[in-house]
This record gives sequence, C-alpha cells and structure tokens, in this order.
Amino acid sequence: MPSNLSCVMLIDDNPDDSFFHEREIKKSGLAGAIIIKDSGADALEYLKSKAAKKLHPELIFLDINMPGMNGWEFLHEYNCLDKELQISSIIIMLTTSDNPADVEKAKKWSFVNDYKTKPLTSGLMNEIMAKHFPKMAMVEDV
Amino acid sequence: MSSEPLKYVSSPQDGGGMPPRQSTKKQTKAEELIAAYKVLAYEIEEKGKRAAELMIANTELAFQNGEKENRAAELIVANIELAFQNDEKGKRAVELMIANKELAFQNGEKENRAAELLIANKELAFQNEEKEKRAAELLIANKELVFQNEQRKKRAAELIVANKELVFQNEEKEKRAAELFIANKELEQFAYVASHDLQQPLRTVSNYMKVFEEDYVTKLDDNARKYLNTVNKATERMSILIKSLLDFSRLGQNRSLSYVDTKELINEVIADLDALIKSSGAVIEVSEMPSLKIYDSEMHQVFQNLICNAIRFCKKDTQPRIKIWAKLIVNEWKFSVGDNGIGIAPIYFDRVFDIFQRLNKDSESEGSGIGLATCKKIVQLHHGNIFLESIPEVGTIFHFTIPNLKHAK
Repeated sequence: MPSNLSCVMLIDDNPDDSFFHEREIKKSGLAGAIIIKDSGADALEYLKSKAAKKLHPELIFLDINMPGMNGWEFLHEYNCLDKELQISSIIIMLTTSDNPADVEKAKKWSFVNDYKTKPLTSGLMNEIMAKHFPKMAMVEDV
Repeated sequence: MSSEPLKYVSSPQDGGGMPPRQSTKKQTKAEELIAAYKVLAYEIEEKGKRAAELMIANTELAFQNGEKENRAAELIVANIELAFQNDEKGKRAVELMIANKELAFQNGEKENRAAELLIANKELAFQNEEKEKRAAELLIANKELVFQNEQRKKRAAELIVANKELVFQNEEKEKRAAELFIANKELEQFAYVASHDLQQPLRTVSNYMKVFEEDYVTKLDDNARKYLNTVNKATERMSILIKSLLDFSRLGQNRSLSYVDTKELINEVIADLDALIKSSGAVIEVSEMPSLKIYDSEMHQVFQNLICNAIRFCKKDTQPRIKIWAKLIVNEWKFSVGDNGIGIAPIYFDRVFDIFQRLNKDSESEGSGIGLATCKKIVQLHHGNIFLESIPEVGTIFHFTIPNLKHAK
C-alpha cells in the first residue's frame, strides 16, 4: 500500500507511549518511516543531521513533559533552525495535559499546527491527515 | 381857746393861787376875761411861735423848693437818662426776646436731642442687652467648643489606635492572603501533578490492554474476553474520575466576569444537549431570565450539569419535564431548575454536593458524580448559595443564588 507521509517523528521520553503510538500509526498505514526520539536534544540533532536531508519528517508529534529539554524548550530551539527546515514539517503537540493554559501556549508557535491528547490512535491519524494533509489523505476504515 | 371854766390859774407873780370859785360875778367875769386874755396872749404867743415856725417852715420850704427844683432838674436828667435807659432796656428787651426765642429754639433742639438721646440710650441699652446675650451664648459656645475639641482629641487618639489596629489587621490579612495564595497554588499543583501523573500509567494500562486484545483476540475464550472487558471498564472509569478531578481542581481558573443574558446562555446549553434532549424526549420550559454579570463559561457548566441531571434522573416511562425560572430577592437572583424525576430523600440533601457522591448504583446512570460538586464550587465562586427541594418520586428543584451584579466593580 502506498504511504502518504514519507516520515513521521515521535518525540516522547515514555517508551510505552511511543510503542503504542508507533503501532497505531503503522495500523493506519499513513506513514512510511517512523522515527522515535526520546529527548528533544536527540530530535534536534537528527533534524540538523545529514540523515534528515534524506528522510525528513513532515509530521512531528511532540510531548510536553520530558526530562531535560521539555516540549516548550524544544520549540524554542526548533525556532532557531533554518526557516526552510521549519516549514517543511508540521508539529502537533501530543501530550497528557489538556490544560487550557498549555493549549494557549502552543498556539504561540506558528509551526505548531495542532494540539492532541494521548493516546494517538489510528483513527486520530486519519483525522490528522484529513485536516493537515488534505491532498494526501486517504479515507481508510481502521 | 377854750371856754372852759377856769379852774385854777396860777401866775408866777402870785405866789400861790387864789381861791377858786367863790367870787362875784364880776370877778368871775374879770377872771374870765383875764383868763381869756391869758388865753389870747397864749394864743398870740402861740401864733407868734407859729409864725416863727412858719417862717422857718417857709424858709425850709423855700429851701426845699430849691432842693425840689434841683431834684426836678436832676429828675429831668434822670428821666432823660431813664428814657435812654428805657430805650436801651427796650433794645435789650428786643435782644432778649430774640435771645429768648433763640434760647427757646435751642431748648427745643435740646429737647429733640434729649429725646433722640433717650431713644439712643434705649437702643444702646437694648444693644447692650443683646451683647450680653451674645456674650452669654458665646460663653456657652466656647464651652461647647472646648468640649468638642476634647472629644475630637479623644476621637483622634482612638482613630490612631484604630488605624494602627487596621494596619495590623491589613498586614495580617495580607499575610493570610499570601499564605492562602501559596496554599492554593500548592493545591492546584498537587491536583494537577496527581491527576497528570496518574493519567500516564493509567493510559499505559489502557493502551496495552488494547494491544493485548488486538494481538491475542483469537486466542481468547469468552471468559478471558469478559475479564478483559471488566478491566477496560474499570480503567475507563478511573480515567473519567481522574479527568473530573483535574477539571474540578481547575474550576474558576482564568475566570472573568461578563454581562450575560442568562436566557441566551441556557439556550446554548440546550443546544449543546440536543442529542440527549431528543433521545429522552425531555421538554424544557424556560421563563424570563435576567441579564447580569457572571462567569460565563462556568455558569454554562452549572446549567449544563443541572439540566443533564434532570434528564438523567427521570422516572421510568415518564416524559421528563424541566422548568427553569429566576426571581429577584433584594439584591440576589435566585435561579431554579425543577424536574419531575425520581427525587432525592431529604437525608441526602447535604451529601449530594459532595465530590464523587453518587446515590444510585453505578449501572443506573452514567456520570462521574462530580456534577453537583462542580455546580456548588462555581456558585460559591460567585459568592452565592446552592440548595434543593425534593420529594422522592415526585421531583426535585435545585435553587442557587447569585448576587445581582450589573455594573463594573
């Protein structure tokens, strides 16, 4: 089955969540490669690396509560990357918190396009595709 | 000369006296004649005396006349003088008359002045009386002023004490407020962290249950599936409870007052609950509702919860009928939501507002049991009160009061 997104990136320190989310994304069949990074620092490193030029994630799921560099700090750093690099991805917050304050905070970044609460399911993936990649979205019953 | 009979005539020559009467007529007549001749002599003497006297007298008289003429001359002079004097007198008299008139006039004036002076004195006496009255009043007023000043000093002293007390109280209040703020922040943080950190492992359980089911569904028998179902329901319930707890702890955060038409608000709630209303066949009657300053989204939750409850706790095979109305009592609006549902026994009236309190078995109704606790917290945020009336098997009315704020504080 042809996939719609070449690459999706998960930035989450919780391996249980990442495992589940990866599974769900695979079930949806909407992504080719799934890159999992368990820290903001690692994720930034990847994005700046040569490997990213070959396999660049169009969709990034970002958790907020992470030890070390948390989601907000990641966004600060991401903002410093090449503008070209920035516009080639959309970031969706994927977090436990549905705190309205956090939702507002996320809205301040132009490259954060959405805010979802865990867990990520294949159904949610379909919704996201339809909303953010309308041209690529395939209607799929999962 | 008297024709008296001679009694005794003695002459110096005789030497004595003659026998008196016993003479003859001739003697008598001679005697008589002698007597008469004596008398005549006497009389001539006398006359001579008299003449002499008269001569003297005449001389005197002449002298006197001379004198008289002198006197007369003098008198004339004197008369002239007198006339002159009289003239002068006349002039003086005229002058005197004028002077008298003038005097009379002056007297008249004096009397006028005297009269005026009298009036003036009366006036002065009156003024003095008034002055004395004023002085007396002033004395009283001064005493009063002294008293007032003393009072003021006392009040000022009291005020200083009261102000010190107030400053102290304010400091205490600020300390309490600061403590309260910290305590609230801690509580918020606790609630947030607790809920958030609880959600994570719960989610892991839930997720992996799904994974397990998906991967092993073929290998599961009926019992296994039943057990898994039970686990799923429990985790689902736990998730709802944690979310409710989190929402409850956040109630009122970032709230803001706005002027709201509560009828519009209720209509919005009814629109949101459209599916539930249609499926239950409930009828909702909304009376005239006020506009006032409230926390908009929070009050939305109150009506949503109350209406939801009214629909959910309905009697079997009875169309739920819900009435909503409001009444202004002094400076508070009393909102009421009444239903014809299963009612609540009075012994539970206090408990219904407790968090997670549910009076019905789990299976009979959905809900986290936090709806009324939420209503209570929100009503309290508005500085209002919430209470209820109910008769089991007849119905329930929930009342809550909200201060009537129309203007900006």
